[in-house]
Amino acid sequence: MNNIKRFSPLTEATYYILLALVEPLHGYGIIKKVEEMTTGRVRLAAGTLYGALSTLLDHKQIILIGEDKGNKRRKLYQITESGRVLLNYEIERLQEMVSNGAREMGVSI
Amino acid sequence: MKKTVRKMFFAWNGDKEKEFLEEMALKGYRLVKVKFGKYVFEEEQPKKLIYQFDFRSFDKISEAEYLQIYEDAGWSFVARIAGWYYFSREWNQEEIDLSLFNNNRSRSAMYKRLLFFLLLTGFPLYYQVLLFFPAMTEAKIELPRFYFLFRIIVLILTGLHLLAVVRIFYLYLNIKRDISE
Repeated sequence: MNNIKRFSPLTEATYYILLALVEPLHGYGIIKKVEEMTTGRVRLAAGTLYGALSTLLDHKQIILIGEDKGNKRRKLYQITESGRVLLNYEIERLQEMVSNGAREMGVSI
Repeated sequence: MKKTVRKMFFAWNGDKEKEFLEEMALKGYRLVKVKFGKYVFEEEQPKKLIYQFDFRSFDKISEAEYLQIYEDAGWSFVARIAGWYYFSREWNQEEIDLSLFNNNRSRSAMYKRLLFFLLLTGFPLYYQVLLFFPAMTEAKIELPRFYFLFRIIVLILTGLHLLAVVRIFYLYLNIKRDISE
């Protein structure tokens, strides 16, 4: 758990990359899925995605699980168990942020 | 038809290099090769191209996969020189942000990789200047003229190197000062 706090808060890009990887995807698949989830608001730039992938790999929050059948240079990644724990921690943190914001600002959500 | 332009940009002048390459594209010259101090273009239809640079040093992910990710995202790999990768894509109206990095974390990470690489390569230079040169006495020098020239070159390189480290560190700090992630 302490280990998880070391990675938090995640950048928006890293958060969405981890979230996209609850199913196996390759780099471009992640870009597309995140774009869909956020209705076009978050468009991961290639270099940003690549950097986040290698950092997440380094910290074992995601793993390489294979390659695309059509093109072997497209590697497939998926979230690990510790990646899920981190993501859950982030969801709780973000929920707290939103409810605090809504209460203090008098906005209903 | 090929066209070669002799030109050099320092690593901290990426914006100027980008501007130069994009102007060449508007004049109908597409970059095909980069050598040290030399740019090779091929003549084609004038186009509004966007150029971007990335620096890769020690990486777990293979180069093939790296290039594939960029290619899938719409970037054409143009050239590679000493860890620098040149990419281009055609400009289009829909895309607002045509850059390789769109958060400050990844933008500053590139400068970090560059600084790390510079510090490693700079080690022999600093070793010469700080330890080797002071230890050389007149009596030890066998080829005075050669040694003199050697010393001048090393001092110039060290100066340039220091300048590069300072300028790039400054770019890095500027990003760090930004309030957005």
